[in-house]
Amino acid sequence: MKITRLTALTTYSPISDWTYVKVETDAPGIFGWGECSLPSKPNGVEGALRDLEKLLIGADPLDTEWCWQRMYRHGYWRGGPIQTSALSGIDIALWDIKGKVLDLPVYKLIGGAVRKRIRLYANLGLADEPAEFRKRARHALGLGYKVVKIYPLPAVGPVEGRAVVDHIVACCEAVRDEVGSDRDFALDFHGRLSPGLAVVVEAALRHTRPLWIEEPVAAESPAQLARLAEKFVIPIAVGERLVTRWAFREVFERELAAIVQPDVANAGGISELVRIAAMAEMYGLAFAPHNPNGPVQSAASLHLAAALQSFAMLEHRHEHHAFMNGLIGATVPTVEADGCTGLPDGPGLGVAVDENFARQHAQGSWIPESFRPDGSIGDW
Amino acid sequence: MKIIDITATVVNAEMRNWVFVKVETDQPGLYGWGEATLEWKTRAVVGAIEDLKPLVIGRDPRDIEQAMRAMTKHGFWRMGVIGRSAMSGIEQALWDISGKELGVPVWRLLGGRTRDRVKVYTHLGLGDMRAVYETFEPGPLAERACALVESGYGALKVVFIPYTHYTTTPRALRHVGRLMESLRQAVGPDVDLMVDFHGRCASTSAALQFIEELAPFDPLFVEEPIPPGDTEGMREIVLKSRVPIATGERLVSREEFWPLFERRALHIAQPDLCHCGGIGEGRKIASAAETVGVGIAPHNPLGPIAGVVALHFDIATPNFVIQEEMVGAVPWYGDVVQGPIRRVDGHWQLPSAPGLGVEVDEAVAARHPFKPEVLHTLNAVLDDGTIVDW
Repeated sequence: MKITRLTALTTYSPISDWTYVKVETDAPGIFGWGECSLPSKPNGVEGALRDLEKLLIGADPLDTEWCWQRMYRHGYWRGGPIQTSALSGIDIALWDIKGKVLDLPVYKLIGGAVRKRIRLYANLGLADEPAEFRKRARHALGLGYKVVKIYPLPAVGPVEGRAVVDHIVACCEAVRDEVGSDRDFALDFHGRLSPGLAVVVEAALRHTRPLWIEEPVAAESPAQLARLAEKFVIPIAVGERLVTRWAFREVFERELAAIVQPDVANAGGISELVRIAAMAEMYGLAFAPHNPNGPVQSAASLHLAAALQSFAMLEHRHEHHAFMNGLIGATVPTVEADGCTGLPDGPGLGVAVDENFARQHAQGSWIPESFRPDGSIGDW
Repeated sequence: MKIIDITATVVNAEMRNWVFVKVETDQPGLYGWGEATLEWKTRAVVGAIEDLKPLVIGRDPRDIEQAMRAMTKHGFWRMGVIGRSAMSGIEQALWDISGKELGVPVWRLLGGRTRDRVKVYTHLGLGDMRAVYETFEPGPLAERACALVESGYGALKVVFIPYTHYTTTPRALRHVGRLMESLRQAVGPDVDLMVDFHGRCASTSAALQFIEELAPFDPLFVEEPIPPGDTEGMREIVLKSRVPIATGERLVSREEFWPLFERRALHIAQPDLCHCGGIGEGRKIASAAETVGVGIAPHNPLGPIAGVVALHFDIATPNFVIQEEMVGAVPWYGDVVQGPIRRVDGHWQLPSAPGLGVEVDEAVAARHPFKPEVLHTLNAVLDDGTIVDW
């Protein structure tokens, strides 16, 4: 069996741009789909897919590890997010192919189910008013989610006073009030805080008991987390912007976080997330994959969630299901009354992209920008 | 003044596609050139340039730091080598624009002269792919090295460590020792010799055994003894090696260099100004290196604009050591770009033209359109079929 073709496909969802890859083989009717969404970099990722194609044409798609090593090592340059996202999408598609050939769901190929239900949480996104978060939380809780995540932080400078801190605390208190004591919320700061300000903010909001604080400081310097990990009572989560196990190694070795959040579409695919989850298990960290994009990524994440011991809960899109259903010509898994969903179906990933639908939404533009009040550039 | 367009021109040069980046302004005739070449990732880099355009168009090209910050922060994803290469090409073009507008060479904008000429080294065959990567016997090695010395070079680098995994063999070690001995005998004691391991040793122990074989013949430095990313492994090598250790071509942005500086896990840093984030980022890396006693030897096997960018950087960088060039990568290397590089006795001379001082001949460039690069990395396979580092 041989790989014969890779095709890249970018589509603009109501949220941002999503990129897919179809891997075709010489076996009649056998192909796989992968997702490599890296929003705002679709041209880069599509170019990377074309650059990787020549390394894989003619290879046996069932040799998933050989293909992974081929892309990783024979590219010479170690991948950043663009390269590794392309690699990730291809890897996901190869597992999809393997599942179809063997007529098994992907989770059965990576060890089989270790749980019956998969916990989901809803990401409520960025806002700056407690009332807005209350509204969004009520909606998500009504759907069945037991955990929601909020991003209550405008673009801030490296030093801020009471007003900014009190505002964050007010948002946390409002959401805690909405979820009550039987359900939970988590906090995402998208790397916007300086280390000094992060310490102040965490101390001020501790009483609201978020499940975790995610990316408290800039993603480019995981080492900055060392001091926070010593000071914080609330667990730290990190990892959506780290790619491959080599980037996670520092987090594990230095115990910089309690929760790791690799993204299957960016960090090295199913093959690599299995390994990162195993490292998490060894170091006693929770594995809670980042999963904010499209339905193929979400399916791959569900297969991982089913099979990996260190899994805690999965980020889950609770909105825009009409678009996602159109994109796969089927119904995406939804949350049920226990805040969970069931094991995913196969064979393979159990989803395929409707290419016509994707092409109908091929145009768009999305920039993740934010500015501080003085006009300087802030983290998004 | 405003940036109105950014375009990429791709020129195929056998093992690389040179990616030249042109940034145009709303001032008639004022534009800048940069280079974003990244072998085997050409379409990804060109795509990344396309993705970065909306973050940069409309900005004042002279606000270089703000443009870099927008590309860093408002891309959300911290860029890896593909994205940083795209950013580097754009950034260099902005320096070119500033220099042209003010009528001064870029090195003057960077702080001016810290030396009078720039020492360069090259590779066997002046960078011809087969000469560089496939010279594994003492005879051809000595012959090709002597040809370089005769043409005026006082320094050269070789890539003759065999593809290796976690262990090596007495036969491989003896062979590398013999190669280094014949090379030193051929060029004499005054020529600087460097050995690039290309991260071929998967373990520190294999790397240290090869370094021991080389040490009696006084290499200037050994490069990438193990693959990039393992600071503690590099520190172990630095502590145990008698030969200076260099690394950095595959590290981008100062954050990736900093752990090595902090742990003193290298002697020479080799940022590539076309990958690390451009001239400004290179300056920041060099400045951090200076505080921990580390010299700078910029990586540059790329196209003719990359060399000119390095020239301006080297003139203005106090802890500069030596500069790489590969001007024989293809026979027509000098035809596509008119530039200010003049090499005398193995040294580049100071340029005086405004900006970078380069002009791309787009008609000649069009004669070498994109095609997939020669994938020499496919040779990096052991006898049993295991894929290893190139």
